[in-house]
Amino acid sequence: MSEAARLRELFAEFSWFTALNDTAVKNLTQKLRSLHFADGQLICEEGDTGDWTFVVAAGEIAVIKKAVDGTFVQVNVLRRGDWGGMMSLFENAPRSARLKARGDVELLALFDEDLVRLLEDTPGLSTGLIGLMSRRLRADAVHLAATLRYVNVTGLDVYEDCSPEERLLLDTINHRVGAGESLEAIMDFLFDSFRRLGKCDRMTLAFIEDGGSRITSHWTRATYQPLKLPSDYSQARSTSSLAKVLETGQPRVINDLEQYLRDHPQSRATRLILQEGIQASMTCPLTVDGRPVGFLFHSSREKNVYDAHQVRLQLAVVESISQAVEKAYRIEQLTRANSDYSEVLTFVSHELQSPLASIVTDAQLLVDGYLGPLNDQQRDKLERSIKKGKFLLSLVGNYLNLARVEDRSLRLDIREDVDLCQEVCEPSIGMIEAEAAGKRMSIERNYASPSPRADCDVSLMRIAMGNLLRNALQYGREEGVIRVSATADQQFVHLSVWNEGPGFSKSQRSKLFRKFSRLDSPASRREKGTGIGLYSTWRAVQVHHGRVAADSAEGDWAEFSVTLPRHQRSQSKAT
Amino acid sequence: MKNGKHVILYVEDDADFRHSVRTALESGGYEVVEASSGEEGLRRCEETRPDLILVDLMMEEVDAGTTLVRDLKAAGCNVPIFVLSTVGDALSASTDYTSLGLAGVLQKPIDFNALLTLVKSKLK
Repeated sequence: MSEAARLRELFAEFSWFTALNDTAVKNLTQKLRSLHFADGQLICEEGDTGDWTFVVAAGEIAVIKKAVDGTFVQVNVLRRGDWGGMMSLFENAPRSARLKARGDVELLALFDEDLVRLLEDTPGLSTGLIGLMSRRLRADAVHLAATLRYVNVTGLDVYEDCSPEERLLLDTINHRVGAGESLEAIMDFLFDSFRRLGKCDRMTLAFIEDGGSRITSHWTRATYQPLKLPSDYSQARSTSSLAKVLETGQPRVINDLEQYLRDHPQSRATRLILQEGIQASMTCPLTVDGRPVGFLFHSSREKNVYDAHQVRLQLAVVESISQAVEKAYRIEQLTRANSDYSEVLTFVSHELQSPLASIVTDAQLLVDGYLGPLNDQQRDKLERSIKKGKFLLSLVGNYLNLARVEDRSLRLDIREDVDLCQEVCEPSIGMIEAEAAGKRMSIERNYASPSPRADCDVSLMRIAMGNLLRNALQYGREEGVIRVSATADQQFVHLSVWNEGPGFSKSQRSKLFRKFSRLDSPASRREKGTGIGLYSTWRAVQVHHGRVAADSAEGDWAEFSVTLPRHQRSQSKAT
Repeated sequence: MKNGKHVILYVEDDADFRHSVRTALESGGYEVVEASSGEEGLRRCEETRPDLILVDLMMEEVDAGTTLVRDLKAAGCNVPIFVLSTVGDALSASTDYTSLGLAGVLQKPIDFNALLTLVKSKLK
């Protein structure tokens, strides 16, 4: 298809375009430049200079704005044939929103100077563009009205009109998320709190799965039994009315589900939930970095309970839990997509580990001169091989641990009342002692007496502690101190590893426990890490219903601590 | 002791490891006896009465190493026993090393200086 024909198809519904003569279309075609963006790619950031405008030829574009409270809200979606980026061009102002590609996007872009010339040379184009803009304004107004239906824009600070109980809820949620609690623990807390505040009889967290095609419940709690709408309910996105919620990025309130079912008799989920006695519901989309990942459903057995304040409170909560949601979401994705992954990984790693250790040992034998003297060049080459071999070994070891902590069928081998100093800390220290001595680092122990005890899976806790120690060894200062502490109080035991060294900044903190995450700092560039260790620690501790925290004075020290309940509720299965 | 030298039994299924460790230990003035399985290790121990034993933790059978240590103890062997393990093995295993009565755990890849220092300290 010729470029002109493509444009004609794209603009077919715009009368101003069809009115353009062939020369004008040709002029326009020559000036439009085709730009491609991959799914999720940033097209422009709010505040960027906007010296070009575009029409969407393929894919969709999420229009995301930063709200007064610093949160990101998806305000619109541009589709094929939509024109965008015009406001900043005409006003000579920065971009008014962040634009992100959804799906493979093709834009036909028109740059500032070209547009001005085109407008002068092409009769009918300017009226056409004005028509387009007013169309956009009209669409935005409709969108805004839908948003205002729930959100009081004049008072975005939800905190101001919260009751003391609600404020406490928001504060506690932030604190818990900051402390790295598991999503399950946070959700339990949320449900219990909302239940106390009233208006919540059922809560569900659902994720968008299979590359966006399915919506599946991940977590559900209710004040009653039995549930007619199953707690693992899954629905194709195309058949779900939730697609609209995703599109607008705004919460949806249905204050009378009976009425809703009369209007939407095909909604199976509504019918089932009505059978449970639920009368009203509120649905809030969960987004991570502007990308929709799921929903939080809030339901009540009373009609007409959800007002603007409830919606805003919900939005604030969703914003707070997004960090925890993201972690859980990533784990969900990985474990579901790769059910055999752990098995293969374990097999491959074991097969790699022995020969690697053998190769390094043989090279070490040569370097140490047991098989005769070496010249400097030979020794240097071998030492490099040893270093690489050791890195590969630590990588393999980390993957083995990862496979173990991510094994969904994992049954925790909980032993009661384990002596954490003797059975967890000391064996883990034993693993790094020789290397620490090599870096002239000293290991101090700060153990409470009597030694703290807790119910735990010893092998998993050794993985957790071993990783923290390895981390301290890797990023700690040479000739510095590594301090291992073990203390306890009535309910919890606390294990921590402190080291002198460059540490990390506040902004780096949230990235620490992500899988394959490596901090970009001078220390981390020098010491090649695998980006798996801390993630495995987090996961191992999470299955014990515990918490991991990280603290640092940048340039001075870093500390990672693990808090475990002294008693595990039952021999629980990891989720 | 044999010919005035301390005897060390090394139980390991990987021939390359056996060769490397033997080379290092012999250069340190020790007599080395090898075994390639737990079963053979137990037999060689009775035959040669070693002064110290090194056991690979992960031989073909996953728990071959720890089983051998228990069998050796049960057979009345009271010389120092060290196990050799690779990073992942030792951390993943929930084995209670203290209850096995080990003299220590050594990491693979093997640091020969550390090995010789350790052996020397036990065999004065």
